[in-house]
Amino acid sequence: MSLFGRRVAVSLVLAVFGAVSIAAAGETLYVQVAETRLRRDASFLSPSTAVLVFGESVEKLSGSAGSWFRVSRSRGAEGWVHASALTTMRLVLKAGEKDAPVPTGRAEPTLAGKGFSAETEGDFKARNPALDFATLDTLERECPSDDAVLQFAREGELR
Amino acid sequence: MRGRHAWKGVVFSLAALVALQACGGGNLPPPRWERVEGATVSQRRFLPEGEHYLGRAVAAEIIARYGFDTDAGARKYLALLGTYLVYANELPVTYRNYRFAVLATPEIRAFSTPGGTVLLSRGLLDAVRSEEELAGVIAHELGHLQNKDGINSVGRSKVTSILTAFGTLAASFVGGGGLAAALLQTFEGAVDHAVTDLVNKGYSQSQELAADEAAVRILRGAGYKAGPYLDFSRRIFAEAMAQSASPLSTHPSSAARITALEKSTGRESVSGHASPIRERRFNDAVRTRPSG
Repeated sequence: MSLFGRRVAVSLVLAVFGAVSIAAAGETLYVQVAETRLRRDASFLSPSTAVLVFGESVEKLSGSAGSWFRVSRSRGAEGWVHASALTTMRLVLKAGEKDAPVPTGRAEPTLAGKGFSAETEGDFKARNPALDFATLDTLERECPSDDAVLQFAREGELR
Repeated sequence: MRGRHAWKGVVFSLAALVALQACGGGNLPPPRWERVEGATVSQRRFLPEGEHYLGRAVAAEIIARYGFDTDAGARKYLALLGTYLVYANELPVTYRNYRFAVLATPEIRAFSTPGGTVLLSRGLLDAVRSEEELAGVIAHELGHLQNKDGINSVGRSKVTSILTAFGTLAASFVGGGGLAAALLQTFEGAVDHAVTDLVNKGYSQSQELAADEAAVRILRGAGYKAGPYLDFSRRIFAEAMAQSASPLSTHPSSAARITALEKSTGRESVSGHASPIRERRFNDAVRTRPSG
């Protein structure tokens, strides 16, 4: 890969992760994954106190440590969330239609509302019926619990 | 099982064809998130949701090609080991967590697709000798994912520019339904490119070296020694070079990777206390095949 290409790639990564990593205390951040856990301490092996869902806003508090942010929810609960679950980009709730009307002549707003999603996958599946997405659904459900992972680590004398 | 043909695919490349996501549309129950504001197009492309759905399609294509190993015990063990290692990497959260599965092929293959699906072949499980070696292989895959190597691949494919062009054209000429069809076409192109890149081409030497470096950091962060991963790498590269049919037999990156690994691991000793529990659970899950 050329040096330019590498720089572009790095810039793209930073565009996503850098933005949130430099978020200041008091700034509003948004959950960018389907769901993530609010934890008592800055560790994945720390007890979970709540589940945050895609699009939910939190406020970054002071005292964040490394890749872990101390945050508060709108209802006041505080805890720790890993930075990779958050974005500074504002996610706007739009109740609604499957194919909301799109403005013409404005490419970026159109793309903003139309990304690869479950709907895209549904269309793809319809054209590729031999592909086994049910197996992938099963794998997602098999994600081990925090307790199981912690037990795995302890039994293996890793923690 | 580790015959001549088994080495045809020995490439730790795997892929994290992350990508192109124009973002936004959600799959959650109503109310539905439809729009992202305050971001550039580049930012939106790389949000986790689009990466997740692209990666699922890529994983489905790879599973269709190699087959799915239904050994639930091995899969459960991989999920525990892999998820524990995920906690030590720099990208521990994806749109819907990480997923681990076994491909039903004697070839030695490993893939990681956007959004966090890690696929290891039965041939690879037959080739590793301990939990520590297996942890190294998984950590290498996680290294590709955290390094976002797929973005580089997408960049080379020009899919990114295609997507931008698509957005411009779509916004100018089509309505909602037509836009969905155009988006599907772009999606299919991205999936095809990603599968071809992952299965047939693999990553560059610099990407492999970086993934190895990441693997060593992940292993140590999780409490594993990195020496067994060096041992495994030496062994499979040596065996590959003994096989003229192997693509690695003349691959210049093999020696460079071993040299770099020796440096990053400090030629860490693999001897010493080995946890009997780790040895037992590895044998139970990986060496013991379910009957029937």
